[in-house]
Amino acid sequence: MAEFAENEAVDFVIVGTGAGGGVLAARLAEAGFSVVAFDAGAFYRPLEDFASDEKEQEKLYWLDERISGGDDPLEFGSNNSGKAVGGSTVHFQMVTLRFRPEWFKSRTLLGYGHDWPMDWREMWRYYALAEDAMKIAGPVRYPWGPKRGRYPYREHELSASALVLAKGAEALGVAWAPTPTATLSAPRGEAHPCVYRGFCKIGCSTNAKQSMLVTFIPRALKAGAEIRDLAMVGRVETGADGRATGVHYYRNGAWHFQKARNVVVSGYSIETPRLLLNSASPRHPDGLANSSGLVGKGLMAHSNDAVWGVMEEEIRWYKGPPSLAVCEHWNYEDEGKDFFGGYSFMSQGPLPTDFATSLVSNEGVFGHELRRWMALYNHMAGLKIVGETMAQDENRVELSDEKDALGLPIPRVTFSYCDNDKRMIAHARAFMKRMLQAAGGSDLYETSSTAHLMGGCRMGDDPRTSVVDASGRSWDIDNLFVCDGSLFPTAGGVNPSLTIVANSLRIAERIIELNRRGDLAPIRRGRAFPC
Amino acid sequence: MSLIAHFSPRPSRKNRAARFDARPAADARQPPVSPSALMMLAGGGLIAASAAGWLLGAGGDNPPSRPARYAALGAALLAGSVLADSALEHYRGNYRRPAMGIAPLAAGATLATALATAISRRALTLKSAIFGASFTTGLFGLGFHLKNILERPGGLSFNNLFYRAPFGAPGALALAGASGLCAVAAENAAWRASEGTIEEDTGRILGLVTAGGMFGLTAEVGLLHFRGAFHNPLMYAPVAAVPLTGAAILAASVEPTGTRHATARRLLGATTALGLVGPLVHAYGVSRNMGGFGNWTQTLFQGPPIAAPPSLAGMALTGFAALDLLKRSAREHRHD
Repeated sequence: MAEFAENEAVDFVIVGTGAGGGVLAARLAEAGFSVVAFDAGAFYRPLEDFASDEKEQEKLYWLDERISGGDDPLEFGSNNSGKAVGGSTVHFQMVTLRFRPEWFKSRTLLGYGHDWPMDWREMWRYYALAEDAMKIAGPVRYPWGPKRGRYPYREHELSASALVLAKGAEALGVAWAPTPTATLSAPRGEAHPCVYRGFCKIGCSTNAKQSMLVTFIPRALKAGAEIRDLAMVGRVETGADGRATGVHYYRNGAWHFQKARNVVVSGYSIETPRLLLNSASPRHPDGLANSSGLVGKGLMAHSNDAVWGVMEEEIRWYKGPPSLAVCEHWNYEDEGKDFFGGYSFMSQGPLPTDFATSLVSNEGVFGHELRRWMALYNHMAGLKIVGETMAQDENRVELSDEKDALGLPIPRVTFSYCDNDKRMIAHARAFMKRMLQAAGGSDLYETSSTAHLMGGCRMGDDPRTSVVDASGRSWDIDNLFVCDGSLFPTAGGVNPSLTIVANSLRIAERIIELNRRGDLAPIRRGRAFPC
Repeated sequence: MSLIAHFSPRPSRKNRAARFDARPAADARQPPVSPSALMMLAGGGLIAASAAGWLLGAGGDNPPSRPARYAALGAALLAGSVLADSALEHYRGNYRRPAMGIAPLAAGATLATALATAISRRALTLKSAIFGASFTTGLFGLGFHLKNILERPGGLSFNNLFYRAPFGAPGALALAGASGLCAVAAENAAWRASEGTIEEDTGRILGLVTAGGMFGLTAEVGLLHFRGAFHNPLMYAPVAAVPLTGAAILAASVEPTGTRHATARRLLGATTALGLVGPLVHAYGVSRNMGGFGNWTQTLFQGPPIAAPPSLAGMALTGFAALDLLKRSAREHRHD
């Protein structure tokens, strides 16, 4: 791995190595730029470092202290925040769905949220590139949305838990599909195909899972980028002219400074606003890129409510990737909805501790009653939504007065469902209940939770209503970029990772183009974008 | 709170919790024998069937004609491939249904009969009956496998075609039976030819059977290699070569000319080579699974199937028999 000197300005410092920063590091390094990508987490080697143990694998989650408030406070960790090289993709559920095309213009076409500053056709091209880069195993025919090319790898065999969704969907007469999944269904390079071990969500120790850690990060290293792990960036420094000059980061027990010509913040929806807000300077008293006052605002989570039931047949839902069947019916069907937005839902396969925790926290069962429920574990099936919530300015990230161990202000996160969100959730619960019953489920019960984060640094066409432009470049500082899920103007009713990767590929290409036409700080070594 | 209201397993539903709590009976979950025992059984079956065929055939009478030998050896290769492959694949399904044992047993009987046919001309009627039975068993197998595919949600979907009972696999048993029948027909034709009758039709029929078999095998190989996303370029080789071979043998059967013969012969040679190299390539594929051969009790069953490719060579041998018959009859025509 290349190592760059701190006092020598690199072309790009990237803060974060997940679906945003990891992709950008690879593409920019491949284009010939010097890149140092920071991550607060460790650079794990899955074959040696990952255990089949839910508790041990919590090391992959971002569990630093955050103050969570609002009517529906978010819980952070397993399904929305990662702390490792590769970011949350190291423990994501591998569901890789594309947005519905209309969502990129949801304000204009559907009457809610904000428009994205690009066209869906542009994204369709990057989706295909992203899917190829991650060798997504997807169905031969996908029943929703405009035509897409063939997935690079074939769909996986349906698990018993996926068959429950399939059976229910067929009984209700709605379409279903094998889920496009980011784990290999055939060998790739040195990686084995998936062995259906079933611990995907806590980190894949076979390397079949196509996280950033095994896809874009190796590409970044090969192209000469440096990955500086266990390095917490606390502040982006700006000069007298107001432009970014580098980042302060904490590593090996001390604060350091890395000079840079450009800084990209890819810390996801909490840490990106936190870093921008904490980097306030005399020229930027409200935090960097914040002339619109929108940094930290418009934070979204997906509703992750679920319906569970007991099946007559044995399911053993811990086997294989947990969400192998998907129903996007209510993402594409607008008739019969009393809410804006959409939702998809997938079959489920929570590991025992995860499942027991959701039983305790949602239903309050304990002791013998909990044991009795856990005895049903191998006969349980469930359907869980990824439900689109609305972008509200009140849902936001701010800095609190409290400091963490490094002396950085702890973020305060406020989240409340609006009425539209609640109507969407009620609709989804009722529909999933019908489907699970139709599939033969009995003794149904429901749980509520959230997953994923989106927004907080909205991208757009207007400096007054967005933080960054279509290239991820901040309206206020021309050498400061944001590239991660915080750019999302709307949440969409699908898991965000594929869209983050595709959008990052798009942003990488735009940055390279900016450099080509002399509109970027480095102006050096840029070569043709090998796409 | 709502949970307790919704659900009270013990009183309401015939002691359901207790029922689920109990572990299922071992025989429903466990394979009937260990993987090592299975390998010994499959290997032993191959050896026993081959030995039986050799013993049955050894008797000192005149060896059969060359086309009959080719077709019989083709049938033996196909049957051997089915024996090993179905023994392993049905093991994955724990031989849950007794019918799953029929495939390796029928393949063993076909293998023995085919080898006997390659060595001796005796008892052709009985051999025909056995080959006919294998052919029929194969067709029934196709029906069973189709039913297995259709009964899952999705029906005739790619997911079910990829992962349920492989639709085309029992076809290999049917082809083994058909090749055996071809061997018997070739032997009868050779006998009639020695009596002065020209038997062009038999060669043609063997050619058509081979062509049909080649197209069927293409569909099966094509589907499964498509499932593997052709991740290795070698996976294109059989998908390209086998249908060409089918077309070439079809052309040579419809109108036997020297050029068509030569083309068909070359392609049959290529297909035979693929069938014989295939197990090595598939063995490499098995080694690509996690743990490689050190973890063979899992990876061998994860695939690709090592025993499957020789069926290509078996089918090609029957094609050689067809060409031989067609060539002989062409020669006879010239003598007229």
